Amino acid sequence: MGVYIQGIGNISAQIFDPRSQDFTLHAGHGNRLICIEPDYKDMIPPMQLRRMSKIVRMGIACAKAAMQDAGIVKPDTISLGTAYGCLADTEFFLQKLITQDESMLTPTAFIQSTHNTVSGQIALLLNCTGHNFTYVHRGHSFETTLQEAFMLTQENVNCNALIGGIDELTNNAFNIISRFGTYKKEDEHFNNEGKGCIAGEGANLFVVNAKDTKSSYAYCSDIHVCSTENIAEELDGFLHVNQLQASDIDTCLLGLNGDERYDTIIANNIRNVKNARTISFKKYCGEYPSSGAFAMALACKLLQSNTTPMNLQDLNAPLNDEPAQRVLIYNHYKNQYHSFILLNRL
Amino acid sequence: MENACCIVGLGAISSIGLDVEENYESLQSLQSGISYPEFLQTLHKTDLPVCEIKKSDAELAALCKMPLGLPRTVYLSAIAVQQTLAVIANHDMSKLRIGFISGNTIGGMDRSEYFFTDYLQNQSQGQLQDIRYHECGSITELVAKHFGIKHFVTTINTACSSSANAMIHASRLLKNNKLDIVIAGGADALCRFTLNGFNTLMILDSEPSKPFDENRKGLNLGEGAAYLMLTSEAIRSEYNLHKYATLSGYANANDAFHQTASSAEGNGNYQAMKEALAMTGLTTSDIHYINAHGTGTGNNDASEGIAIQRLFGENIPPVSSTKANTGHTLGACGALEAVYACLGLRDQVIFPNLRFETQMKDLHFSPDTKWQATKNMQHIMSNSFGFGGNCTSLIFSKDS
Repeated sequence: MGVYIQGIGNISAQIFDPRSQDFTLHAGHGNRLICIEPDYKDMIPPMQLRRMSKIVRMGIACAKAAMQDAGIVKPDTISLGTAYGCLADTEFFLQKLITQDESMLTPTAFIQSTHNTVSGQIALLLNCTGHNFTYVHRGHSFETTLQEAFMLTQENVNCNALIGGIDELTNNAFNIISRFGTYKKEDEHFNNEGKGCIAGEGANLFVVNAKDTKSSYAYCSDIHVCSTENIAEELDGFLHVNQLQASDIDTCLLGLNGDERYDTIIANNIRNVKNARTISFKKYCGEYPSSGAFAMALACKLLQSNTTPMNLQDLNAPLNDEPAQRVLIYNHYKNQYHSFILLNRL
Repeated sequence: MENACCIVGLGAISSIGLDVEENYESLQSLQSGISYPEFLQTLHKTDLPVCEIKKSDAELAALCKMPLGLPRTVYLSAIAVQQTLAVIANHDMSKLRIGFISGNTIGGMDRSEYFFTDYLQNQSQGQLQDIRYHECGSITELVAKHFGIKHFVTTINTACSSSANAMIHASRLLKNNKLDIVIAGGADALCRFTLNGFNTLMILDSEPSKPFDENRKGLNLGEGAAYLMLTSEAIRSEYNLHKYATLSGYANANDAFHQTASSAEGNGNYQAMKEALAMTGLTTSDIHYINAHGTGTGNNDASEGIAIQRLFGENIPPVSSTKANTGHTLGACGALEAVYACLGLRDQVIFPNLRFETQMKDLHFSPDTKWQATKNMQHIMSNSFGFGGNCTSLIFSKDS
């Protein structure tokens, strides 16, 4: 048993209405994609907003949007995935700690630096007293919340689970990660050949449950995180378990990130899925650990649309504008935590 | 309870012992690990007592055979995992799906502090090796790789309830037949970030903490790691593994009151305990001992105590907080206290609450202060509450 996606809240480098037929997505310029934040004033009281870091306000706004979209006032469970956590507040407190030599420190940034601040604040705002988890494991933090939602909705068929992936990229984090040679050069973009990817960030939250309703986006039938080096073999196994042939997949959202060191690996692993159109979703959200949640939002948008815009599709795979019926998301993070998510049109 | 998970392996390191039995002996001899910091490089070496493991990073690295220069939390985690895995060392487990779920709250912050000191001078400065493992997930990943665990690896950070929640997630994965064996628990080393952070909240006691005492002034931070090996009854009996206890009930609830403080009524605490009990099908009179979260702060002990009174009424079982011994080990405490619960069931003992003197005015019960041998103790409740309103209660049971 899988889950039905009922509501989406999305803040990313795109202006993104998941229910609309508008697919204007911009690949952007330069080596860093920054979230386009909405006007929060209708969503968060200004006094509270002032005290919130970017990750907290994005998380709360997306939680509210996802619930409104799903037509619920409160979820039963909250599980978020974030690899980096609340970086801005962490850096702030760390900087003060060092520059003030462990003296005259104030608690606010420390309080908000905990990784579970976002899920805790959502619970506080909604008075949601149920299960509340935060997974903080690298490139499959979001995927774990989805796996868990399968189990939570099976334990309680009436459960509305709020799940999602959220990461903020601060200037310091961007600078430091750049020093590892992770990103492309400042004047490069996604399509520049060679090493390095485009930096990203985002918040994508979902309300999922076990019920097929008129307004459900899609049915997520399975998720798998690979545990071996034989990714292609695990993909075959994944399709087999789901009683599918490779030809049953009409659209692949691939975690290609523009870094040749990794993109050749993905291309090789997906080689048996020949008939599918492919979309490189990180062109639109950048590379970050919980980017799989952006892919799921985009997949849901495609699965309720009556077309698949050609301009999103990669040129080296089949091209057509037929509506998507079955989408495979294949993501990885630095060649680790290769994951498959299968989403189906209702 | 037919689906309950068996606990077949234990591992622990804390300021009161480098392994499980050393921890047990220290509890029995009423030892605490409280001292001023020696290894933690802080300005608070004479005003903030902590529960520090008196080993250098290099000594800890040697204990788990890991390279130097990694975050201290990695070493603590690896040492406790190594102990936990010992029970299957002589078994061929190659057919089994083994997972590792670890809680921690600060990741590689101890090294990040070094990095940032140089980085703040000049953004091209700072040794990258010191920031490489900053993420909480990096700690878990390093340890999983060291022991070759790969079927499922994740990290939970729900503050002070992290490792208790790791056990909930482990149990859920086992019940859903996603894994055969899970090593679940958590680790956290002391670092300046958390010591100073808790200090700004003014909840650190400058003396040894006094959980559940009217004159309690706050907590002492500690460090440590603890893990439990969980599996199904079927696997346990197939491989003839010794069963310490079963994880018969669990619940996670949110207090939804304040980012760092608990509600006066202990709503989240109450809900977690009540739902954990409901999962077991037991009644309050079946719980023979509560190992409380009991940090020693004014807020926690009042809130938790009131929640216990609400649930248990007049018939409150023995209650104690072993944080008076170990300090508050943050991401490790839920698992460390779960290990203690297993030992309590094994040897039929109730652990004492050190340094209790004065009855709390808000409560009609007081904690247990003596090492007590008991009989027929079947079920122990263990509480872990954290920032973000995160409340977890676990129930461990012995087979009758």
